[in-house]
Amino acid sequence: MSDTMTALAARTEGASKIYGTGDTEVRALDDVTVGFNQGAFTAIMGPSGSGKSTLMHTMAGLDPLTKGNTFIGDVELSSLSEKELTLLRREKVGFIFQAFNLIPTLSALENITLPMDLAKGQADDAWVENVIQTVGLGDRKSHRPDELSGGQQQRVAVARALASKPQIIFADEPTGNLDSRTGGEILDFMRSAVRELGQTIVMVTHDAVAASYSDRVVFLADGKIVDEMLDPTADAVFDHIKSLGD
Amino acid sequence: MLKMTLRGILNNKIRFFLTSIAVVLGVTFVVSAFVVTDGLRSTFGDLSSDIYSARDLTVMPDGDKGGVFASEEYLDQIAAIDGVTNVSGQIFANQTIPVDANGDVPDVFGPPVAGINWTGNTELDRFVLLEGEAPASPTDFALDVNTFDEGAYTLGETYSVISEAGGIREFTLTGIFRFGLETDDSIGAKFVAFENETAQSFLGRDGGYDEIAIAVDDAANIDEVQAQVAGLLASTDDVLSGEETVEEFTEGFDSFLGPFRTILLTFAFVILFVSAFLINNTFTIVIGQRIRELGLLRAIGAGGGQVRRSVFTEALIVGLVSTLIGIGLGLLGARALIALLESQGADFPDGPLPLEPRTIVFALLVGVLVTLLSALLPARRAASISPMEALRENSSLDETRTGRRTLIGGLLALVGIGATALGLFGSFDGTAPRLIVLGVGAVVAFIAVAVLSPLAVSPVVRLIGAPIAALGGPAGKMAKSNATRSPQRTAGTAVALTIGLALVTTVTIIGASLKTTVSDALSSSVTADYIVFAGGALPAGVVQSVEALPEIGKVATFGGDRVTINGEEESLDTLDFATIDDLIDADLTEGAWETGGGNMVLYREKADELGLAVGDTVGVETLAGEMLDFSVSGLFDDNTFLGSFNVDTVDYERFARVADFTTLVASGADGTMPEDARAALDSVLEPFPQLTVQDQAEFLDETESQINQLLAIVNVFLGLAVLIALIGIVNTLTLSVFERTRELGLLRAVGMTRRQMRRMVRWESVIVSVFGAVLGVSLGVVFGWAISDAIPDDIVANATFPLTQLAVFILAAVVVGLLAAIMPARRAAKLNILDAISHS
Repeated sequence: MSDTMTALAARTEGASKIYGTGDTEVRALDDVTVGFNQGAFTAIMGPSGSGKSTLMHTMAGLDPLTKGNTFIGDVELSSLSEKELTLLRREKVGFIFQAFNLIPTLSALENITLPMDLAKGQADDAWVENVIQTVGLGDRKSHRPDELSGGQQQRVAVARALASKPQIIFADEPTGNLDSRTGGEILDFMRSAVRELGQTIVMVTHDAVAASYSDRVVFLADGKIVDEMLDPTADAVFDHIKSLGD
Repeated sequence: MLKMTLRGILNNKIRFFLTSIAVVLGVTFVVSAFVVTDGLRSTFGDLSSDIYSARDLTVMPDGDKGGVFASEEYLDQIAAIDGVTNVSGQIFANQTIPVDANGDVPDVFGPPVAGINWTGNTELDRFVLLEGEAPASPTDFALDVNTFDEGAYTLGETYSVISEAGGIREFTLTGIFRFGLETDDSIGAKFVAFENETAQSFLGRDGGYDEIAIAVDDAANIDEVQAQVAGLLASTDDVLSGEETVEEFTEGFDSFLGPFRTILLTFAFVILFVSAFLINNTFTIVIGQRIRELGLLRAIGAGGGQVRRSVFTEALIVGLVSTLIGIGLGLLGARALIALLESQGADFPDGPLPLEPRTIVFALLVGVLVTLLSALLPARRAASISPMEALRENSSLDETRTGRRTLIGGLLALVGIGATALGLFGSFDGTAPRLIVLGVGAVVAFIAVAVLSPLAVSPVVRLIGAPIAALGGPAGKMAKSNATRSPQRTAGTAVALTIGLALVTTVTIIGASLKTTVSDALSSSVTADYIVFAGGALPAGVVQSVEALPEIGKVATFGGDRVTINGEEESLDTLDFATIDDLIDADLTEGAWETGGGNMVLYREKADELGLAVGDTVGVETLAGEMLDFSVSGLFDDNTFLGSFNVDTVDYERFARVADFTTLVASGADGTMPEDARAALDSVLEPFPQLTVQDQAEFLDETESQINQLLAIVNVFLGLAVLIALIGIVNTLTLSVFERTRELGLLRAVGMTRRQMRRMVRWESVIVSVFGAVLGVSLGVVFGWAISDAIPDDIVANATFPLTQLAVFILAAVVVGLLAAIMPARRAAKLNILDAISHS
């Protein structure tokens, strides 16, 4: 791991996650220590079963570690109660999932402000409006999810993640369900959120092209970090994956 | 396919359980109704054939028609007939009341409290001495063991006994006995026994008997003996064979049992009807959830018929299993039912509770049929699912189109309302066809409600959801939109509550209207200050002592007997024409209460019916066969307290068998304080604890509380429908939580706390149940109003709407909603976020 001068938005120390016991034991994460810089766009890559989703879930406080620690900012997650974890997610973490990101009964705008509503906090209206304009949903605010295209739905999801100005956003295959053009738009937008708004994003993907939008790619295999790449290009990432496979 | 269905059931045990409960409850009730009535019937039948087993013949002197009793002479003559081995003359005088050490008396308004003569003839009379001595001297008496146990009595002590004919007399308690040779066969009747001659005089039998029991030698020709006995008697007397005696005895019981069973089965039907909607809704939701799976089945080659059959098989299994459980529980339910009715004052004999094959067949038929019918539409929908659904991302069952729904619902509503109106206002030959038409009308109307109610979901939920969305924060807001998400599901879930509360509201409104009408009528017509009732006749001397009180002003007594007027059997009442106008305001609009005898005052409607006017003559045939003429002296309009035909007390002995007064009304003397008058009245009546003294307010209260008691029983049964509604809500919510797993997981991931999650489910439940309640209460108000209007005005004049109670129903729905949400809310809160969001 290279030392960085910038602060870390989230990190793990010796994180291990073991499912099952005895013969059926699976080490989804094996002593992983990694940090994610504030204001950076990081991609986590790896083949199926490499532990990339587990890493994201444990870092986001959705799944507890078997051993080791994870931090959001300075907050160590294993010391938090279920309720404190929920509140932390609500205030400090944003999520973008592959599919089913939106509540079908709420309008686009209501979906975007949902975390703030749940916190009964006052949304920063100017900021929310800014985010909505940026993702290009100005004329779609009052539409229900089933009245939006897949790309539009995913843009609402991104807007929701950004709206509460979280410390870190976790994205799980955010373009997995989209065609490449629409996916490219979303990734562009995520990158500009990092560059222009200083947002921190960690994205799990198996798509080399998607990974090429990031500042840094972390490669996982068998629950361990095997390599990383700064300022990746799609070809470089693709070649690297191939070399890992050899 | 069958294997798949079975596996589906095993994998969804909770769903299976919740669907079954409704059927189980319905079947339980059906079985209980049969078992209880069969049990009563057989216990009673056994009892009566047991009681009369030794009797070969019974002589029933026609006491009904003129106070004739069988004399001692008859008894001797009968005993002398060849072949007669045993004769017993029996006295059975109702309203013979013992007063215990505390001054308490047995309940005189329930089963008979009868005075009997101690014959010592156990073969024919079945009274068995348990303790002490049989009454032998004129001052002795004996009590049956139940009365002895329930009151404060000690053997050897002296107690007052009151009889209709003999007034109050002191007797010494010498013995305790039981009715029944081996077991207690009294079924609630109470007995006070005296030595034979004492009984004859004290109970007013004038040296005679009410009944003669005869045993005949097996070798003798019974028909011949019967003919000989009959030859000795007056032609109006009946000589009954043993069988006829049992029949006579059980006939009265059957006439009570039949309607009782019908009422119980009606409630059972209501429960099953409500259950049907629950089952239908559950199956519809489940098929909606399995749409991709069913589509896949179609895609790999299953035919529509196979899919339909698999749904039917599941329904069949649900129906069978729940019916079997229901039959088992029905046996327990029967005990509960008896306990419930006994807690309301009924008295049942102990006996076996038989499960007749007929009960099982009926229960199976009803339970399985209701379940299959409920699954009919969902199965059809399942069969019509296209294989394409397997491939779609978000597939869901289409809701029935609004236009079609409105059309079908509207037609059903028209038929339902039409049939109900016909039932209410049409003319029928008897009550049964009217009730059937009414019942069909109500059923169709409720189905129409179920079909149409999804249309009401959106506007009504917007209304009741508004305060919840405003107060409940984001959870409230989301609950509101969840409730409108699938109007068909919301309405389907609420419909059980709608029907239950519609019925409860209807009954409540009719009851309230009845109460208002009765109390209005009574308070305007009864101007007397006090009313004194006896279970039977007022004891001798009571009237005179009340009249003698200086604190009491006017007194009027009421009596009467059956007579025949214009070919119809009627009740002819006597009252004091001199004082009645001061005590009862019957709204005399023509003529006067003409004293001096020979005059009759009629209820105007009755007079019009018979074409009688003031000055006309009315011919009355007494039960003794005498013809009397009365001249019409007045007509009145208000028959709340008075009967149709009234003559002056001075005419009483001319037509009545026994000139006893049953009721006395009185007013306080001028210038006497009400409490003084009441105290004086109470002190004079104190020796007669069986009398009920009421002032006007107490009388009204009593009347109202009788109506309330009846309503309470009805509402307990209808409450079961509300219980099923609760189960229905639990069911739908549980399925919805399951269906929305991913959505709920997402909510948790973006920061919804468990508490907010629980709150959201709870609010949705409250919205659904309040929706059902609002609809149900509204329907109930309409039904209640229509029925009150249809009932003749002299029973229910104007519909009364007890607003507080109706508000309580809505509040109760909130509670139902909260209760129903407990388990589903907990499940929703406990969802594992990872399981919920990780892509499948």
